[in-house]
Amino acid sequence: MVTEFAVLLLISLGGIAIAWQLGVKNLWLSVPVGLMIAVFIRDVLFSTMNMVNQRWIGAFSFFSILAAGLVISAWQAGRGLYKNLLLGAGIAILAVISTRVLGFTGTPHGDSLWILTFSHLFDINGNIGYLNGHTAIKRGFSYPLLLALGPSGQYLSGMTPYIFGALGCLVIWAVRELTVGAAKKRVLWISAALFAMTFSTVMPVRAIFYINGHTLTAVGMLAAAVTVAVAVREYHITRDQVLVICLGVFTASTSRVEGILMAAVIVLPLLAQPWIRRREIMWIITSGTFGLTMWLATYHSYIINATHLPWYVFMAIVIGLGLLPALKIFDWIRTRSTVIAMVFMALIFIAAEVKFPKALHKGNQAIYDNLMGGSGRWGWFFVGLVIVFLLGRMRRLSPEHKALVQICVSIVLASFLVKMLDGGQFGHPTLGRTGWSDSLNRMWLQSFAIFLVTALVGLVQNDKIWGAEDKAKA
Amino acid sequence: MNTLKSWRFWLLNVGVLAITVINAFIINHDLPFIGHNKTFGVNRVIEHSHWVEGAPVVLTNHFSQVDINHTGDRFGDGFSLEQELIDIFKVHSIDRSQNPIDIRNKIALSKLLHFRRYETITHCSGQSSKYCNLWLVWDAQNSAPYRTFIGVRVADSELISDKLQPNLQTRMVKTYMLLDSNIYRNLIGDPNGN
Repeated sequence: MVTEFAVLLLISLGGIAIAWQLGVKNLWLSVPVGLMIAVFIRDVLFSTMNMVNQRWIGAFSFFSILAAGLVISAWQAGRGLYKNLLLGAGIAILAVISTRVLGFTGTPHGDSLWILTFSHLFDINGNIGYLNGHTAIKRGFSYPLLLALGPSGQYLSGMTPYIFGALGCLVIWAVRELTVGAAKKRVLWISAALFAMTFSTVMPVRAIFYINGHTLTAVGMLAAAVTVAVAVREYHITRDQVLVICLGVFTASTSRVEGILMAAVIVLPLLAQPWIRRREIMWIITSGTFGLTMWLATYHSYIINATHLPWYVFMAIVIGLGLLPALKIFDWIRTRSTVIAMVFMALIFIAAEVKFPKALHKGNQAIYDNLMGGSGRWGWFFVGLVIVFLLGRMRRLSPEHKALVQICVSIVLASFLVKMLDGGQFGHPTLGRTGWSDSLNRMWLQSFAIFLVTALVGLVQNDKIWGAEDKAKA
Repeated sequence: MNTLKSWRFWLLNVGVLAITVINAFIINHDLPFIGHNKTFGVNRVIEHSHWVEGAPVVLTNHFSQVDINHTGDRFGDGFSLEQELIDIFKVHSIDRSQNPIDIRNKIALSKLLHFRRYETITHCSGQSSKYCNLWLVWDAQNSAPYRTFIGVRVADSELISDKLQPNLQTRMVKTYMLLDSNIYRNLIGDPNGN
């Protein structure tokens, strides 16, 4: 237990300290950004050391960098940093107490055991070539790598609730950032209402201890989505915001296989802005393509093997292709890419429903059962979401609200397509099955926080709810 | 501005309150997580969970060297042992070239059940369910750390995972054993002699 406390505290505090060095000083943002920095360092070090068959150095250098970051930042920042460190330490300690002292653990599930198996392989410095199949690629990279940092032979049990804590901090930051200038009473009232609606149902609570990469993906997705919305609102993006988006895209792209698609649809409203600089486009896209290809190369993935290309050529091609949208000749498409992507995904979805009605009928029923009928353990959460979206501002949307709505619609469509593709690659397109463990049903764990934040912004900005109709018209 | 006169405000509150009550008290739901866990070793977590893929892990938890044969093809007359788990948990060798040996008419099942150490399920085909029962059978009195396990087919039995779910009619499914070769030799004879 002492090892687990020490490891999680170092990850938390080291990440927060490095975030401080990089300019992320906001209290609530520091914890999730610190976590994403830890993810980035861990992934890159492990992959690099794996190339020279010295993976044990990966963990050692990971902890060394975090410790160095902590010591240097604590020395330079003085008193300014202590609040952030206290918050991170508090969440880390609570996380370890919840699993090691109180004995809470996630609902048993086959995917969790696969993930623990991979973390075991990392822990024992086993042959990563065993992970070249589709079973491994579907279970992610970053999350099992973090779990492998536990005591020898054991997984880092406190990491899962810590990630959920980081997601909670991120939501608080998002609400504060997106409601600047709004009446505080409105924000508090809506926050309390949405909190009650969310945590009265099973799935969001299940995510606290459930061993899977969904919550880590959610951290990356929400960080990117909110920062995109803020940048769109301000018609300007700062260096710190680019950093947060890049970390979010990297985290999402390496923690679940569908993460890169989700990250792509999230950043589109920003990439479509005419004012964004080309180097910022390149940084953002590369953070996703680099992360994904590094993961595939480390796993000796069948996807790279199928191309018969050396991994570094494959990486170079994918990263190079990702840079194309930054070219001037693609500006016309880029500035319309959000709408084009939504229409494209909607058309594919409709075409699949028409072409495979029998195969998808069962899936449609499963979606209804899972999201409306209670089988997915979401209760009436999604019914509530529809209601609060409809009560939110519907016309003359603010730029940030419009960006968030576009992101939500795109995520829903992308989730359907990813699920169809999962079976479709074997000739059996599907939209899932009834039950909480269905992968599409679990995918909503990655996006529910974005839906909630979007709904909150819509409600807070709709003056009619607050009896200020005349003022809004004026 | 009078918020309390806005019907939208009241609709929002009543709607959210109703959904919260429905979520918390009316819609059926199970526990979001479980407590009293004391197991953090990955090998033991897998063994305790009776995972459909867990057989190789359980065997390597108990023995230094494990060899397995006669598992066949899961899409034919055999059953599944995932290659990733065979590799990661260092099963010494696996031979899938021959189907499980059918011992239904060779020995009374009761004689083997005495040695049954672990029950789980596995993937298979050729029946209504995609799962079969898989029992791991070895002699705990024998202290040898090196074991060879032979895949054998025994009489059908009720699917273990069905029995754990109330209100579900249990299905009779194919049942396989990974049987310690020492027991096989002592009770049945030479596995290569049929």
